[in-house]
Amino acid sequence: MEAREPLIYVLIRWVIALFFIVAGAMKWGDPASFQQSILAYQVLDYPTSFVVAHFLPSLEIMLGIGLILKRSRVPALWLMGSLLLVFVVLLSWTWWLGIDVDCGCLGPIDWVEGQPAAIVRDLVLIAGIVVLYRKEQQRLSRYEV
Amino acid sequence: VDWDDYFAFRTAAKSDSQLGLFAEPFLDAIRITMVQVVKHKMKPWYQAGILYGILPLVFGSFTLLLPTRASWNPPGIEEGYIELETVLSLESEPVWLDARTREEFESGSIPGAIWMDATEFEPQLQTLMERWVPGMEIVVFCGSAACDASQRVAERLRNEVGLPDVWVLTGGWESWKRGNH
Repeated sequence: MEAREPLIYVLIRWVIALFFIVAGAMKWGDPASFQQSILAYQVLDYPTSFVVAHFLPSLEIMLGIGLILKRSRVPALWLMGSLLLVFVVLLSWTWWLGIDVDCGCLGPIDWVEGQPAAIVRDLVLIAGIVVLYRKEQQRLSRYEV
Repeated sequence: VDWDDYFAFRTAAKSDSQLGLFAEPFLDAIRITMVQVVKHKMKPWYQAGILYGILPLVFGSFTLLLPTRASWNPPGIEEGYIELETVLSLESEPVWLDARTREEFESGSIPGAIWMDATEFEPQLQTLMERWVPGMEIVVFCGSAACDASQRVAERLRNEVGLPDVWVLTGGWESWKRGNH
């Protein structure tokens, strides 16, 4: 039987998972608005932004659920980390070019304005994901022969 | 697939679903996947493929049915219309067709435009075909957004000649003049 997990890890996991679930849910019902947020970055064309706008919110929701459930936690952390890194690169790129974009991360309820704050938020989430990943590695190493 | 579970779900679903035949395969995919994920132990990466691959595709597909669905094409090239900004951003120069009256065409038109009236269609078709090469966009315009001569020319080119990529310029000649070209 596994020992009870320290509360801090549970807390970090729930915060990150809920962030992804809420982020996905807020955008899921309005792909048109999300597409406009994506296009504002001036990186993707219409067909690619169409695909991202329709399928990324569902992926975010599933990643959040996957992180709460014990199953497939490691792949979820990998995917979440990769997604957040892409967002950080895009936000930094538009900030560098002086393009004024809303993060679009949480859809209509996003309280963060401007790229610097959004980048900081994403970096904090990445730090949390790294902490969880190291914890997961420790947990799984116990099962290795 | 655990067929007992599947048939149990399927039977229950028959009375539940109001979405019709089209949605049934999607609903089945969700039911089968949930049975696999929740009830059976699977290898983590196989689970991950379902959780983060198949399920987002299925749930995302539902958003294609929403009235707020995203747009595949830039605004203005839906239903055969194209905005001037979009035309100007095309990689290659399109063939411009002026569908206004002969007098209006002669008093000034888009540089390189061919005059083509919907009523005198055939004589000008030869001129168009000498200019057009496969892959080239054709943009037809008339006086303003209110005229329909450009639509009639575009329809004949699409339906009778079978040319692809025939667009009507939104706003017509007025939009060209507004852009100070």
